[in-house]
Amino acid sequence: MTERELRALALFLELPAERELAPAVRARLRGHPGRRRAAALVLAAVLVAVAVAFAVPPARSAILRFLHLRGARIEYVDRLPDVRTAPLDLGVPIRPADAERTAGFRPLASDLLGPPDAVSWDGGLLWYRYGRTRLLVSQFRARERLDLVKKVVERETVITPVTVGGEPGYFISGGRHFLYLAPGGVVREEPVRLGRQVLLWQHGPLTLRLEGDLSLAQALRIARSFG
Amino acid sequence: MVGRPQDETALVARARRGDRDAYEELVRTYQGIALRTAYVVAGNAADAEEAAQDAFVKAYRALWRFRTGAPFKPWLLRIVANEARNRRRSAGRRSALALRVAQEPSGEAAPSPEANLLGAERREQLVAALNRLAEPDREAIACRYFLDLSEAETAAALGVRPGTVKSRLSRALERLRAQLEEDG
Repeated sequence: MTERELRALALFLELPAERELAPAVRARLRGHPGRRRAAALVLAAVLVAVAVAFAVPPARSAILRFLHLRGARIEYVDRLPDVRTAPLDLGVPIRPADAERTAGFRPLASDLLGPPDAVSWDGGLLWYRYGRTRLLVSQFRARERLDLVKKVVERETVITPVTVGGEPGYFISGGRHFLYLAPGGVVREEPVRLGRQVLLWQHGPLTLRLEGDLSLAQALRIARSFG
Repeated sequence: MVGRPQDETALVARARRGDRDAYEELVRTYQGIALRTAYVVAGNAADAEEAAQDAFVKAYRALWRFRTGAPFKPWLLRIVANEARNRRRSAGRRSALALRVAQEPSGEAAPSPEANLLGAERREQLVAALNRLAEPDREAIACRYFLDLSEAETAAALGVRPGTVKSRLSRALERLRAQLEEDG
């Protein structure tokens, strides 16, 4: 068998004839919600542009139980650690076209939200900001160690297990919840924005986190648009 | 094979700014190869058409991530192949190649020397052996020899690094030869 024979075989194979796809694609793009609608969706979100610096060793509060996602853990603690506020820091701004090369994985994008207003990389997580941080989405490729730990107090915070595209996730609402990011294995500053809900979910090798003032239905709709 | 249009970069730039006429031109340029790539991966004409259409819609929405000046075709084919693969997986079936019912070579007024290389029996033998290969092997051969994609385009369609296309293809050809020998 030669490569020439294979090329000749192509002449006899059943392959679809060229069809005009442009009208159907155009019609579907007319139905695209566009950025204005996406912006309206996130407009209700509240921005509290404060971050909380890591100030307390994790051992200070007892872990009562925990929930796992790939690369992430939600810990129920008896009390939240004391924290002090610090400016919001989502890493270094990067061009959207450089996101894949910088992060080392193919980032997911939302059909619903369209392009983010800003993209940044903090060394462990890729951050998308929509509507001047009214909505934040971060994503990372889960490794063996934990990249993300969230601390919650059960009586104050409601955690709803959800499914996004057949994969597990958790919607966290209610009381204050604290997130500790640990890129490179070093626990460092922790952004937390009060009065916002968080949806954490897995998508293949990636773990995503959506944060905003969103209902469960809104958060799920946005999460499902990432692919 | 469709070459890269001279003004592709300009068309992509216009499409990124929301110019749908410009995007429609890109769709028209690549709809043929998108359909054929989707068909090779999905193994079904209806799924291929849906996958190609969905891929064009997704690509439009993802244009902001496209690296300016990069070739559009490999980037698009990666999305097309992913869409087609998802459809094949959800349908839970294998893709398979088939010979056309009318066995004159397509698009030829008179048989070319290439077409004369293969008798009907040999064609059937080759297609049967190809269909017994694992999907990644068959896809690699189909992209390179049946769709005439470049190495970079084949890599994009297969979802592998360009550097691994040669080795993937070489292993696929070895297995195809072994299969043919087995068939006697």
